[in-house]
Amino acid sequence: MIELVDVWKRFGRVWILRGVNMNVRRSTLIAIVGENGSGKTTLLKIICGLIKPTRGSVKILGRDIRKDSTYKYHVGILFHENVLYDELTVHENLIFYSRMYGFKDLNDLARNVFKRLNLERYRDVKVRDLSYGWRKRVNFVRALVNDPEIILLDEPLSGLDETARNTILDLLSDLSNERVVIMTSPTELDVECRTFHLMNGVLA
Amino acid sequence: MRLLWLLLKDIRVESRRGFEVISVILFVFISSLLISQSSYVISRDTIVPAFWLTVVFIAIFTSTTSFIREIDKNTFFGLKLLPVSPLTVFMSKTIFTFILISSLGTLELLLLATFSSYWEILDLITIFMVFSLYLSIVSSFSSALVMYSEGRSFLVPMLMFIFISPVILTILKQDIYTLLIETSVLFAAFLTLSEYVLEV
Repeated sequence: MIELVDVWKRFGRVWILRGVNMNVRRSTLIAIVGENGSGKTTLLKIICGLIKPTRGSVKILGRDIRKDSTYKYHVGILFHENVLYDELTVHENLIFYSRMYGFKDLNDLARNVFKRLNLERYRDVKVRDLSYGWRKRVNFVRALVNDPEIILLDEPLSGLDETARNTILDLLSDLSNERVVIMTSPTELDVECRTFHLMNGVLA
Repeated sequence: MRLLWLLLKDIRVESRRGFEVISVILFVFISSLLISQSSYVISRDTIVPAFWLTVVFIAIFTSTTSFIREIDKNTFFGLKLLPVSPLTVFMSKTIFTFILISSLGTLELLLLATFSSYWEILDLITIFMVFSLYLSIVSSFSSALVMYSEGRSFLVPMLMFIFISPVILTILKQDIYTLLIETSVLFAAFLTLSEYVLEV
């Protein structure tokens, strides 16, 4: 489902990624572990097409993402940053993003996760009034509004309390039964998954 | 349809920024009051040029609501990953900016006419609408062009003045046909370029 061939990325004179190769099939949960600044976020942004690699190619569902942008329908991403509109309520944000993917309302997957993360009581609260942890939960649901086959998560557990961490880890295990889930983390995770280490720009 | 959702989202977000809405309405109110008062003291001929100048300032204020705010708030990353073409995003921002400039400018016109009892100024409404379209295209494009730059808040007004300077004479002559042609050419050029600017 995801194929990275010899991906290199340079910022200025510094090479962040050095020849990353990856071939991911359906029903996989992958953790990319690395220190701060090791290039985890850059790698995720390259996979989702937000950053262009200096060298190499990325294919999603067999299509080169530089030539075919339809892959966007199949990829959901949770950024480290909040990408929600502060002035809109939680529900308005999620509906806006759902509609942009052609859904009239929240799809079943997003609705279930919305409930499991106990977001119902914050449905009509403006995002600017939420704490960091609750924003992160809403951003997590936002990443699922297009019912994606590939889910990319940039440090999904950071800033969350123990309960939320466990709920999200359970969710990720469930989601990876039928989909590809790739997440980054600065430390090893206590969950059954394929773990890659990103060090000096090399994935091992 | 997606263009409509993008547009509605921008309208909703902007309408909830109470402080900024009140600020810009106050600017329109105070500027029209000052222009009207000075026209009684200096000359009635100052009303029309002062109106155009105020409209340019309104356009500069509203330019920050476009791409610059999306990038400041990180929401632009969300937009970039949506399955919509950069052209659609550019169009929605341009239409939104047009709504803002045209409504605030119309308010300025009405207030000027009322405060100065210079009702002939309302004849400018047609050329003002075309100029608003010109400004909204320039505003969206300037905003998109410098959104990744750290000095974006300073660069946008500079760029806007550069893009506006070719039509100043046309505006002062109130030559609506030339302005229409200039607006169409600019729109076509920026629409073509926007795809590359937003893809970066």
